[in-house]
Amino acid sequence: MIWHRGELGDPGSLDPHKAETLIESNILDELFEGLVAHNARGELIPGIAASWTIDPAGTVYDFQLRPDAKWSNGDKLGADDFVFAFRRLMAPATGAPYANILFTLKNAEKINKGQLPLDALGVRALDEHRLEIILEQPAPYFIAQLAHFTAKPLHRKSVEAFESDFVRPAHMVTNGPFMLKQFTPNDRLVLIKNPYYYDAAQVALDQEIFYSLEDRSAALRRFMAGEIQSYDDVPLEQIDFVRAYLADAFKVTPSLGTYFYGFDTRHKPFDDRRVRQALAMGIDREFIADRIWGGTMEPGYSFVPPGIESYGAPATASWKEIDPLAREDEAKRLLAEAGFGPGGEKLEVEIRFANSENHRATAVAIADMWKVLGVETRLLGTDATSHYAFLREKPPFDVARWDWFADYPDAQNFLFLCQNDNQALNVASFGNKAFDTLMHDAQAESSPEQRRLILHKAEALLLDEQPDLVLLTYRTRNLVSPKLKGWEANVLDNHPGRYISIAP
Amino acid sequence: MLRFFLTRVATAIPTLFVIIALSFFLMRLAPGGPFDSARTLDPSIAENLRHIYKLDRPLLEQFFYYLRSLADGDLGPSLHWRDFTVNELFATALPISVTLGAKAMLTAILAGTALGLFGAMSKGWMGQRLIDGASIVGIAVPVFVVAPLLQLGFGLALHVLPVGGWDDGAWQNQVLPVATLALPQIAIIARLMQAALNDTLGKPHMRTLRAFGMPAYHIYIHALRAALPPVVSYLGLAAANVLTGSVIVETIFGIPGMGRYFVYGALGRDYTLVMGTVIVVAAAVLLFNLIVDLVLAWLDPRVRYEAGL
Repeated sequence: MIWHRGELGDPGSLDPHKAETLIESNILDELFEGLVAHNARGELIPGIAASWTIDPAGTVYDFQLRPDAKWSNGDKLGADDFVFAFRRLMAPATGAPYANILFTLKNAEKINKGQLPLDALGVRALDEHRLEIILEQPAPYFIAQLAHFTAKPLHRKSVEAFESDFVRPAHMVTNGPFMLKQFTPNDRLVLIKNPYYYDAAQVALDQEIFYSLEDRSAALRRFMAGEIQSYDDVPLEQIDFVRAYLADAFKVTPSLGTYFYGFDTRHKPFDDRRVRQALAMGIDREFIADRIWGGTMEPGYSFVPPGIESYGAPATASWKEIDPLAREDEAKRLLAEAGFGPGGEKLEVEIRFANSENHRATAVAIADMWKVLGVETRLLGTDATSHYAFLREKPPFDVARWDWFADYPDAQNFLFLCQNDNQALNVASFGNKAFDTLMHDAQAESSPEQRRLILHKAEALLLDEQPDLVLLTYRTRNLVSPKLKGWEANVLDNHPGRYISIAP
Repeated sequence: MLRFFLTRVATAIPTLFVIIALSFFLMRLAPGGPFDSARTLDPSIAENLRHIYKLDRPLLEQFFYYLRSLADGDLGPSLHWRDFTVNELFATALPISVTLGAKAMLTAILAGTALGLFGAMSKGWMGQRLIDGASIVGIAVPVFVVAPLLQLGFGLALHVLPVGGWDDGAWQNQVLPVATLALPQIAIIARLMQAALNDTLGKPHMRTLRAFGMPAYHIYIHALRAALPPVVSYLGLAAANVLTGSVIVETIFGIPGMGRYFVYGALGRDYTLVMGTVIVVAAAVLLFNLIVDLVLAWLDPRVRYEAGL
C-alpha cells in the first residue's frame, strides 16, 4: 500500500535542526516522533512520552517515556536521546534557524548565544525512561510546542558518527512510523514503514512517496490521472473547474494562518491610530476573499484566527457588523480628524508585497477601495527574497504584506507578533506598554480561564490599534482522492501517514 | 588542427574565470540573502548561520575561498538543499538533463533536416508554404502551452503516457518531455535548412550540375553539405541550451534536471548553487562553440583555409 503524496516543493533539509518550512514539518512528523504527537484530526496526543506531571509553579515537567520505544535500527530509545537532541538544537555550532521557538527551555537563549555551556540546558535524564524539563518561566503552551519539529529526539550514535550526513538514507535512524529510503531533489522522497515503531501494527501504509510539485496546474493534471492521491494546493485560476468536477476531492478548511498588511508605526502618518483604523475599515474583505481568492480565504476580522481550542472564538473588530456605507463614512471622519481628506492633506500610501498574481490582485483591489476614501495608493512588488530581506532590514515603509502560520496552536503564537521585544517578527514595529503588560501577565497566569481572558483583552487592544491590518485568514486547500481513507481536514493541515490507508 | 584546438582551449580558461568573477560579485548585488524567507530569523541566529557558512567574511576573502575549493573541483554546499553539496545535486541532475537534451536534439536534427529537405525539394509553393507555416507555429507557440496540451492529450484523454514524473528514467516518462523540447528546435532547424538549401540550389555550380544531367539525389547531397554551415552554427548554441535543462519543461513534467536549479538558485539566493549553474552553462557554451568551429572547419574548406589549418 503506497500513498503518492504531492507537495509544493522539496524539504530543504531532513535534519530537524535545520528545517524551516511546513513541507519539512510534514515529512519530519513521519520520520520522527517527539514527546507528543498529533492524531488525524490535528489534536495533541501522547507520543514517546506516555504521561507527564507538571509542578504547581508550572516550570518543571516530568515525562515518563514509553518503555517500548525503539529506533528504526532496533536500538532502545530513552531520555538521553532527547537530552542529546535538545542540546544539539541549542548549540550555536548547529545553526538551527528555529531554535528560538524552544527558548522556553531554561537557559536555552543564553546557550544559543554562546553565553552558557550546553550542559546548563534545563533538560536532563532522571533515569533511562524519565525526562525532566525545566522552563525559563511558565509557558502554558509548552506541551503544544513539543509537537514541533524542533523537539524531536535524535539517534546519538548515528548523528555523532556521520555528523551532518546522518540524514542520508544509508545512515538515517528515525523513531517515527516511517524511515527514509530515498531522496532525490526535485523528484521524490520515499519513506518506508518502520518495523520497530511501537504502533507499527496499526500502520497500514508500506510506503509513502512525496513528490515535489511546484507547478500547481501540472499537479492537478497528475492528480486527475491518478498519479498522486493528494496535493496540498490548487491552481486558483482553475478553481471553478475544480469545484465543478472534483467536488468530492476538494477539501477547504480554515487553517491557522493570517494574511496581514503591516503599517510602519514608526513614522507619520502611520503612527496615528486613526489613520490605520480608517484604512482597515475601508476594505471589503468579502470581495477579496471570494472574488480574488476564489473562496479559498476567509475574510479576516480578528488578529488570532478562529480554531484554537484553548482560546475559543477570537475578538473581532468593532466595525465588523456595521454596513459598508456607514463604515466608509466613519473611515472618512477618522481620516479628516487626522488631517487628511477634503480641506486637509492628501494621504499617499505605498503597498509593498512579494510578487505573485494573487498578492498583486489583492493590492490592486485595496488601492481601489482606498481611493473611495480619497487615498492615493502606489504598488511595489518585488521578488520574495527581496521582500523578506526588506522586512528584516526594515528601512521606513508605509504598508507591507506579510503572513503568519502558527508554530503551535495557541493565541500567544499570534499575539506575540506585536510584542515590542519581538525584534525579528514585529513587522509594524508596534510598541505599546499596555499590550506588553497584558502579554507578560498572560505568560505568568496559571489559570487557563484567566489566561484566556487576558489574551482576549490583548487581542481587542490590537484590533483597536490596528498596527497590522488583518485582511484574510487562510484556508487549507487540499485535493484528496476519495480512495484515501483516514485523511481528516484540520486547522494544522497536518496529515500523519500512520492513520492513512488506501481503498482498492 | 591540434594547435587550433589548443589555442581555443587556452582562451576558454580566462573567459571562464572572468565569467566566474563577474557572476560572483554581481550575484551579491541582489537584495537579501540565502536565509531570508517568509519568517524572519532571530538576528543572533541569522548571524550565527552567516558565520557557519562563512558569509560574514569580507566578500573578497569569500571569493578567494570559493576559487580555492573550485580548484579542488568542489562547488560547495547548497544553501537551500542543505543536505546536499552542489556537486551531489549536479551528479544526479546533469545526466538527466543531458539524456533528455541529447534525445531532443537528435530528434530535432533528424526531423528538422528531413522537413527542411522536403520543403526545399517540393516544386510547388504548397510544400514550401506548408513547412514555412508549420515552423512558424512551432517557433511561436511557447513551451508552457505545448507541454500542458501534450499532458492533457496523451496523459489524461488517451491514458497512454504518464502526465509527469521521472520514475528513474522509464521511457514512457521521457516521451512527452523530449517531444516538448524537440518541437521548437525542429521548427527552427527545418526553416534554417530550407532557406539554406534554397539558397545553395540557386548557386551557379548547382545549376551546372543540373545542366550536366546529374541525378536529383546526387545534387541534393552536394547541396546539403554546402547548406549545413548555418545550421551547424545554430546547433551549437541550441545544444548548450537544451543539454543544460529547461526550467519550464522540468517543472511541468516534474523532471529532476538542471533547469530548475538555475531559477531556484537565483530566487532563493543560493549563492553556491547559482555559481555552480553559471559554471556549467558557461562551460557548455564554450565547449559547444569549440565543437561547432571544429565541425565547420571539417565541412567547409574555406574555413580551414582562413584559420590556417
